[in-house]
Amino acid sequence: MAAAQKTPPLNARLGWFIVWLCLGLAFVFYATPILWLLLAAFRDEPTLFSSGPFSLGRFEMLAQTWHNLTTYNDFQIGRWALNSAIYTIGGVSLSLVAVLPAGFILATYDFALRKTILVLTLVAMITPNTVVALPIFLQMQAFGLNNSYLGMIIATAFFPFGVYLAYIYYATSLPNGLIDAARIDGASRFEVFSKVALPLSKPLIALVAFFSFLANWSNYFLAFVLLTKDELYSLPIGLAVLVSSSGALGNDVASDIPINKPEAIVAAILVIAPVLLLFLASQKYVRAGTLSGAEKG
Amino acid sequence: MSKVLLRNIRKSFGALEVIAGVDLDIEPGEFVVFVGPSGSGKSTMLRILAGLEDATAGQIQIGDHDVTYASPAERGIAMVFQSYALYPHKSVFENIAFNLRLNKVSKAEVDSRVHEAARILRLTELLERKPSQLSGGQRQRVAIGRAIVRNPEVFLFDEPLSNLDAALRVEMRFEIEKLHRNVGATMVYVTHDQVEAMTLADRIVAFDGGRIQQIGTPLELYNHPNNLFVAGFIGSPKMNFIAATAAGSNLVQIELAEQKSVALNQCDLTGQSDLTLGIRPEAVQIGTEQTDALNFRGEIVSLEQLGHVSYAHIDYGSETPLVVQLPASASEKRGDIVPVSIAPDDFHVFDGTGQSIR
Repeated sequence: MAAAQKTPPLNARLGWFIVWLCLGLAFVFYATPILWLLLAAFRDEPTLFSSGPFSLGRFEMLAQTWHNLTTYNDFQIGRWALNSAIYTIGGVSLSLVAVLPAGFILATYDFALRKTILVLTLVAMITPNTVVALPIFLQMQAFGLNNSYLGMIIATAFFPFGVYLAYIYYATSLPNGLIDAARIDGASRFEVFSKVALPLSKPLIALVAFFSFLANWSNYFLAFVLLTKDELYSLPIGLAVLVSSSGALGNDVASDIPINKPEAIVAAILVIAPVLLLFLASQKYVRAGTLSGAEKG
Repeated sequence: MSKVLLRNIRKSFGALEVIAGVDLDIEPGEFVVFVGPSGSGKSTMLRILAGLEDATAGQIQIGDHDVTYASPAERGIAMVFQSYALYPHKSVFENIAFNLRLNKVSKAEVDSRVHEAARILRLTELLERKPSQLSGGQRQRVAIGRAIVRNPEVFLFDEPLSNLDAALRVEMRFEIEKLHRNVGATMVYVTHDQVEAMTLADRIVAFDGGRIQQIGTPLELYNHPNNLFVAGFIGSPKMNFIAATAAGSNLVQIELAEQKSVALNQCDLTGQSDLTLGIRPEAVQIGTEQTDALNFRGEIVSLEQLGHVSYAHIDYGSETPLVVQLPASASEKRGDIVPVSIAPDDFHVFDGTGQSIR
C-alpha cells in the first residue's frame, strides 16, 4: 500500500493540474451567474447598483422583496405556483401512463407498423415544441379545452422523447429471457409488462418523470398559447407578464406596481428551485437510468 | 408424462431457413438431448416446441393435444433457461410461485407446492432471498424449482449449465439426472456440450444445418455415426479422418508417403470411389504392427498429457496430424518416430457425400 502512495511523476502531476485548471475555470464561468442570482436575492433595488456585484445584502431586504411579491394582487403568484404544480404533476403522470407501455411494446413485440411508429416517434421528438403549438391550440379550441386544466395537461403529456427513452431502456436493459420466462409462466402481454417489466423500471420512471417535469415546469410557449386567463397562468407565464407589465427590468422609473428587479430575481429563483431540488433528490436514479443501457446487467 | 410429436417442422427468418423439416417422436418419460454446434437450429427447435417462436410450417403435438398454435402457457411445458431468467425483483419464493399466482391457485396450495419444490431442490433456507443474493448454482436450482412446481408434462432445458463453472456443471448435471429419475417427466434438453449429451440422454438428436443428422442412444451415435458430421461431433478428441479411394468391393487405397491398401470386410464398397475413413483416437495402436491392419510410421509432433491419458499428434504426411490416445504410462516423447497400426474393424467408412457405409 505504501508504495502506491509515492508521489506520482511530474508529467502525471502536470496532467492532473491542467485537468483541474480547466474544470475550475469552467466551474467559475458557469457558476458565477447562479451565485450572483442567489446573493442578489438578499439585496434591495438601490444596493443592487450601489454595492459590488458579490456584496452581501441583508435578510430583511429579502423579507421585504418576498412581502412585495406575495402580497401583490392578493398572492396571485401563489395561485400561479399551484397551477404550475397541477399542470406539471398532471402532465408527468399522464405521460408516464402513456409512455411506459408504449416503449415496452415497441421494444419487445414485433408487430405491423412497429418500425413506422418508431420513426414517427423520432420525428415527433425532434420537432420543436413551438412548431406544433398552433395546431395544438386549434385542436384544443375544437374540443373546447382552451383555458382549462385538462387541456393544458393533455397537451403537455404528449412526450415522444419519453417514449423513445422507454423504448431504449426496455430494448437494452430488460433481458429477453425474462419475457420468455414470464410467457412460459402464463403471463399475458399486459401481465409481462405490469408484473415483470414495470417493477424493474424504477430508473426509467425516474428518468422519464425528471425530463417530463423539466419540460412541463418550465414550459413557456405552449402555456402562453393555450392560457389567456390570468387565474390559469402557470408560474413562467405569470411572472413574465408581471415583470413586463411592471417594467421591472427596464431602466425607466418604476411604475406603482411594487415589482422591481429584486422581485424579478426572487421570482426567477422560485422557478428554478423546484428543478434543482428535484434533481438533487433524484440524481441517483437519473444517473442510473442514463447509464443503464451502457452496462450489462 | 407425455409423448411429444414433431411433424415436418420448418422455420425461416426471411430467406434464411433455420429449421428445414424436422420429424421427431419423443416417448413419454424419455430424456432427449438436442445437440449440435451453434447455429444448428437446436435452440430454435426448442423455442418452437415451447411456443416462444412460431413454426413457419409443421405440426406439434404434446400428449394428445395439437399445440401448434397454442400459447406457451397452454402447452403444459416448463422451461429452464441458460441465463436462469429469474425475476430480479421477486424473492426466491415468489419466483417459484409466479406461475401459480398467475393461475390464481389458492394461497395454501401455493405455499405447500413451493415448499415441496424448495425441499426437493434444497432451497428452503433461501426462499426469502432475492436472486442477486444467490450463487450461480443456487440460481439454476431456483430456475428448476420454478419449472417443477408446475408439474409440467414436458420439461425443456435450454443450455441450462453453460453459465456454470466446470465443477458446478458436473454437480448440476447429476441433479438434473436425479430430477428426471424422481419426477419421470418427459425432458428435452439442448446443449452444445457432448459430455452432457452423452451422460444425460436416453436418446440424442444431433442437429446440423437445421436438420436432424441422427437420432439414437449415446452409444449408437458414438459407435455407428450416420455421417461425417455426427462422427466428428460426438467424441473427444474428435475422430480422425483420412481420405481414401475404393479399389474393389472390400479394398481401400490410402495415399501416404507410399501407397497403402487395407481390406475392410465390414462394408461393401462396390460402386464407390472417393471415401473418408474415420478412426477414433482411442482405436489407434502405436509401437506395434498388427497383421492385416493399416501400418505406417509417423512422427510425434506434440504430446498433450492429461494425467489419466495422453494425446499424441502424429505427423504421417497428411495435412492434419493423426490424434492418438496413449496410456498415461506411455514412454513415447515428442520427436519420436513410431509405428502406427489401425485394425480394419476400427475404421468408420464414409462415402463421397459423407454418409456412412456399413
